Amino acid sequence: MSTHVIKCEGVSFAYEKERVLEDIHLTVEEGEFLGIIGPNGSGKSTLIKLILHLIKPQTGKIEVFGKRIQNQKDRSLIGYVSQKANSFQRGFPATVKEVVASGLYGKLGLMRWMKKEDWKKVEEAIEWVGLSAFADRNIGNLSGGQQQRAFIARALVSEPKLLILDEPTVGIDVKSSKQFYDFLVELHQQTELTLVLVTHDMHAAMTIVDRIACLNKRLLYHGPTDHLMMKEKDILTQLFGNSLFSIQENQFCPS
Amino acid sequence: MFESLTEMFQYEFMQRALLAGVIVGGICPLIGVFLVVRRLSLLAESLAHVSLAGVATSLFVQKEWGWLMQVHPFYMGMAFSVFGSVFVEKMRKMYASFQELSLPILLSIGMGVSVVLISAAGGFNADVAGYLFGSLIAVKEEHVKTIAMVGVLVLLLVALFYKQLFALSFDEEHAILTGIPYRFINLLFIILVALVISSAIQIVGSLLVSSLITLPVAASLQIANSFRQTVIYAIIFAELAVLIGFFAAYSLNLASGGAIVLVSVAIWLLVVIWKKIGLQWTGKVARSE
Repeated sequence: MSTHVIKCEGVSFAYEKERVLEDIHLTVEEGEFLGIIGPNGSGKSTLIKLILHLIKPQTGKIEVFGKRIQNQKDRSLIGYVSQKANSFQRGFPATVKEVVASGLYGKLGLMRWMKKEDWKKVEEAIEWVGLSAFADRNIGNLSGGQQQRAFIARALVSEPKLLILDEPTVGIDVKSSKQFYDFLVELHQQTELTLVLVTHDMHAAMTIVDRIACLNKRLLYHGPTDHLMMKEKDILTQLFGNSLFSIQENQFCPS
Repeated sequence: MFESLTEMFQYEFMQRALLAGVIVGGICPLIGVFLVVRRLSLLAESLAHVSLAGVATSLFVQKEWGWLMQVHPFYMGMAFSVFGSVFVEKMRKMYASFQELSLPILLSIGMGVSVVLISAAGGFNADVAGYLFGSLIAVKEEHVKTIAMVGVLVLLLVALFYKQLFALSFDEEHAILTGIPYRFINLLFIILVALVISSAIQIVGSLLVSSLITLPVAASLQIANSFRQTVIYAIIFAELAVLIGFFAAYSLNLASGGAIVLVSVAIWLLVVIWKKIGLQWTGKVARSE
């Protein structure tokens, strides 16, 4: 049996008195593409912080690659792309290459310089995300979707086994988002990476992930996407309200 | 013109001042790039005022209790500045959501202490003016040695921790997540800022020191593409400002700090205008094609 990439057992968390997550049981298998959806304030980002061990659960335990994260070394198998990556300071003077290279700095340690093979890794990561032509461009001159791809390259350059994306398309236009999701599918198909995508964009999540977790303080559903659509529609209604389906149906009405 | 140039170098005090100026012109923008991109430009100003408070304390102690202790204002300013920088780091944790609040607080304390102690020490004389606006004659040999040591230290540490400083400046959250020891690096950096500022006060004065830290960077940001370029251009602009400013100060008998700052402003303006013209030009080319 393969070890679970992520295993949450009875995890609860509260900020002061406000309960954010209650009794979460969740496992993610190797090579899986999991979507975590839920409305704003449902505890999605908190769950990610718990998995990354930036905060500690009040009860329950979390294991990543079969062990509890204790220190930085345990975290080095995880790549992370945040929604905030999209709102880095515009006009920051850095090229795509410089930004992607910074993904290696934590691993390199304090006293080591970038070697030739390190720069090669950087170039490979940039090529992988299809930005080779932009490697020496200022990151601020790229489109939102391209910037997010550069941040994926920054995460990939340290060769993680698990990539967590926290609302990566927030603030990116619809067309670029679509391209970005296509890119994630390609990434999933061509690598052995385990992917976790946190989003409130339900439609996007449904079409690209293998399994889905519906979160609203509690884990309401965890399983294949098609099963959710067929059998458990009321969970989605509970999460996003009735309007969700009326909008969806209206899309096909001739105007 | 060449006569006055050669004449200038005959004086030992000018050689000393020029050496100190060139070192300061290198390390100010080097530190300044990181300060500006981290939106901490005001930190330079605040620490300069704290440094001035150190100078004032030293002058006051010399006057009142001169028999007790003699610490040169330069070193007292440096000590205060370093102390102030550690205070800023502590305050940043105290007001986590209003991190920049520590800067005006520090600035006020520094200025308040300076004004009270300077007037108690006998008011504004030529010595004090030197610390406010920079003075070439006041640069002593031992100060040049200290400034050189600070220069070597800053160059060495920035070269050593360039990666970490860059990562923290670009995206602090991600840098912390990838295991960069941010507390250590941030503290080290802010102490370097304090040392650079108190060194630069000798040349440009405490009221003008932040301009040598920010203006060359402001000009560099206009035209640089990469971070590395930003650093290199900023240093070139600052060194130009120091050299031209020095010569102007000497030959026209101006205050050195003011002259250097005005040249920095001129360089910044030229770069802005040059960029504007360049943009229009490329726009025209694009339209005509």
